[in-house]
Amino acid sequence: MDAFFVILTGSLVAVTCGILGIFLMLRRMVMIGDAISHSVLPGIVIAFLISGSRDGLAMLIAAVITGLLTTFIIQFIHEKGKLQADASIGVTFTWLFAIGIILISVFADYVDLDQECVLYGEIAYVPIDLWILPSGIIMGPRSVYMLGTVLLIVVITILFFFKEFYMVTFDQDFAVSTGLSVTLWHYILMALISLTTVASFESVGAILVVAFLVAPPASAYLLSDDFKTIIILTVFIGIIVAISGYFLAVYINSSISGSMTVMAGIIFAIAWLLAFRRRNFQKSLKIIKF
Amino acid sequence: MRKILIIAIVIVSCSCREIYQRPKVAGDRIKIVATTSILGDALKNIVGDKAEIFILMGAGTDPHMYKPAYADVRKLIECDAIFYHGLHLEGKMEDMLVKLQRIKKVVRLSDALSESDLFYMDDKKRLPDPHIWHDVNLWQLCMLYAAKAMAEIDEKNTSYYTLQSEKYLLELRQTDNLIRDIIKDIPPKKRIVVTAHNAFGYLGRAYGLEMKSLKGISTVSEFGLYNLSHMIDYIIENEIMAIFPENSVPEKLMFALAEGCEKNGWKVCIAPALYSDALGDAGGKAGTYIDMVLFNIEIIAEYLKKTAHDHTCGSTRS
Repeated sequence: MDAFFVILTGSLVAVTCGILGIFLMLRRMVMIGDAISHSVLPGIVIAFLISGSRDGLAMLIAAVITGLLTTFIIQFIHEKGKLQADASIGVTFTWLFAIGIILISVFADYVDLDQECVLYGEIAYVPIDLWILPSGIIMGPRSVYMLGTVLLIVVITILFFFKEFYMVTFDQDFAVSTGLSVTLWHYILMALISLTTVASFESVGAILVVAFLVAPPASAYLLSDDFKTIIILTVFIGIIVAISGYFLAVYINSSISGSMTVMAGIIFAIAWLLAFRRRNFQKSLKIIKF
Repeated sequence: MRKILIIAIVIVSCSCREIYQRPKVAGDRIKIVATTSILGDALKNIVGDKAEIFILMGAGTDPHMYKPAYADVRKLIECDAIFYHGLHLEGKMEDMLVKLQRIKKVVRLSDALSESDLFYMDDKKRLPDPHIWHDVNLWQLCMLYAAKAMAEIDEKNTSYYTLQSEKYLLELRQTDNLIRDIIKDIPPKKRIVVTAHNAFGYLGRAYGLEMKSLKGISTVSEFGLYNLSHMIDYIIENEIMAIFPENSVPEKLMFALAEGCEKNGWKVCIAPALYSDALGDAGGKAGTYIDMVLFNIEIIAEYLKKTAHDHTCGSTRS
């Protein structure tokens, strides 16, 4: 049973991050996950200084707020400052992370405080990190509920406003001409991303989230040119990564998130080889045609 | 959609009712998980051969850096009881253990101590220092508590655990006396211990040593240049002969400090690394809890007693 819960949690993260990752990749912003994993530090320190505790919920709320702030600053610099996406990500998260370090060394040097030990979860603990009702009924792993809710929010928003997201991603000029607020939709996407990444950090840890944001969408992107096919492939690849990663971890008795990330890399390599063949095949078709 | 959701929740909540209790087999030994090597070794003395102990963070593992492997989590699920330190030593893992307490036997050792026993890291007394074991007296209280918990977990062997714990507590008392004897030989003026991070607060309080550290409790946060230059001034002012690295913090910090002192005309010795958060390798000089505290105190005594006549430390100005 615990195998099922770990794979389920991995798959929930893979699907949510994968779907958002596609949009990020097309906007050249995939490393935003890594950026948020660092930039939540000042939020955590401020929450600790206010509340005086390292309680999980306070840390989670602080991280969500700082995550939103991070993505909004990135979007703002990118849009108003006309700066490249990667540069605005880099400027924003290093700045916020450095503020966090300074806050710690000035106000909270005496306490063990960093995102690794107060915020990031560990996917291996999912089967024993339970939600227990006051009456003593065990409702199952807490992460499954939290990540399930986030997945529902993301999928419903994207399905409902698929046309809008599609247009602002692929054809901004056309979107503007139809009266759509490109800025608004970019900020909505950014809000979804910070919510997803922070909730996932809290449940499964940072590296897995960063990997799932990039590797499955990148593999799917190599295998298809059709947007809807890319989405379906991303979901499919994400789940395969979660399953195979889990069994690799069991087989070599090692870190589960590490193994899943390794599998994501291996599957990307396979996709790359397949894509290489596909491109060559198409090239040879063209040669025959002309 | 809603139907699927409800069915999913029902399946999830039903399926996990039973898996957190291991079916009892007659003649089976009790299985216990301890979070750190220090705790695991101490517990071994109490449970003897009546229980199996599995240690999550083995020798040399810094609790801040611990990542569970697959088998670790299986052990947590299948064991009969979990023993851990508390006071945030285990970090975020503690949230999970507190919740697990409602469906499993989970023992937090810091519950054995009252508020006045604790050493606080901040002025407002909100954040207790988790490194209790450096005060052997407090560790005795913890072991007494652990023995009581074992007696509850495994009722048929209660008398065995009581006997074992009495033997071990006696050993701990002797260790405590031994440490006090060793400290007595150090001239009172020289009882200042400079370390990298602030893990020895209890040691200092219990045995009358003044502890000075470059950085706070976290092994992650950076130390400021301000701290470094202040520490150099402090060392020279108080004519401190030796500084003490730890096995869980990179030694280069201490080298930077020693170098800074030497530039100002004062040579300090760098002692062998003290054991702060984890035991040394089994069978080595700090392989058990008692060996570890004695090793630490012997190193501290040897290096604090150094004088300028040893020609390894002191003023380099002629």
